[in-house]
Amino acid sequence: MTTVDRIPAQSHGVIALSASACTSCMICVRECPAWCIELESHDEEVTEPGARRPRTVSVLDVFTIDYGLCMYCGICVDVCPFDALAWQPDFDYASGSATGLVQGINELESWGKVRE
Amino acid sequence: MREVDQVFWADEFRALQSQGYFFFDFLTAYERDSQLVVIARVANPETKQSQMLTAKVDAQQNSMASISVTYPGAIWHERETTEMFGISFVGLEDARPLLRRSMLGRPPLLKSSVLAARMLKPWPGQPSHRKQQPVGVVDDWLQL
Ligand code: SF4
Ligand code: SF4
Repeated sequence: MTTVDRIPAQSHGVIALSASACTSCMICVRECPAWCIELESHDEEVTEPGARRPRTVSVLDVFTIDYGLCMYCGICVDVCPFDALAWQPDFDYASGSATGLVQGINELESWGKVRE
Repeated sequence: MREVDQVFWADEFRALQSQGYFFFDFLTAYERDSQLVVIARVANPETKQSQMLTAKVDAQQNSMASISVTYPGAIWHERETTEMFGISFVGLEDARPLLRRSMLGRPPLLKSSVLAARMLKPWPGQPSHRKQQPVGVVDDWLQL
């Protein structure tokens, strides 16, 4: 049994992002007390087969969490209305530099995939 | 959680210890509606029960009785609470700050204290089409 197996599933280890579930509503960014989430997005029109009009969806360009500032309170995970953020019991992301603790979309998404 | 009169704060903890609550867990403070409240928790290792007590801090004196004689483990927490909230603990012999190099300036965890980082870093949640005041800043907060 590895250490990760013994850690409860919802432990405040790392925050995983599901970019497809995120609507860029900015709620987590505004509620984060540490101001450590940054988000940029743009709108795109998608036409679905059978739909009368195209739909406007928000597409993420940037979504970063700076774990050097994050205090692991979990407010972002709790306030997200679309369940786009979730705790994962992974702790193995120490870094020798401050910038190494800033994780972008790819890295944040990889945590979810690892645990699925 | 039980609120006690601040006058009886130290007595309450002496009584709890005599009832088997030997384990000191934590002590800290919080501020709600401009009122400072001290909160502490102790536990009974035999029965696994715990008691969490709160007491409003007298705004004039801004001091509380120390419980560090009863629970020496509280020394560190009372030092931290002094440093961060500016509350002094009567009877705490060693009140040296833990983190702050100097006790000049406002205690950083008071809601009225503006953190330097809040001035220097732009709020990432600022809407593009209107100005919004972030939560956790004073009313006259001004981004530098
Ligand atoms: S856990 Fe708290 S501090 Fe960290 S990103 Fe979420 S809201 Fe911000
Ligand atoms: S609260 Fe959820 S949906 Fe909204 S921006 Fe944050 S992660 Fe995306």
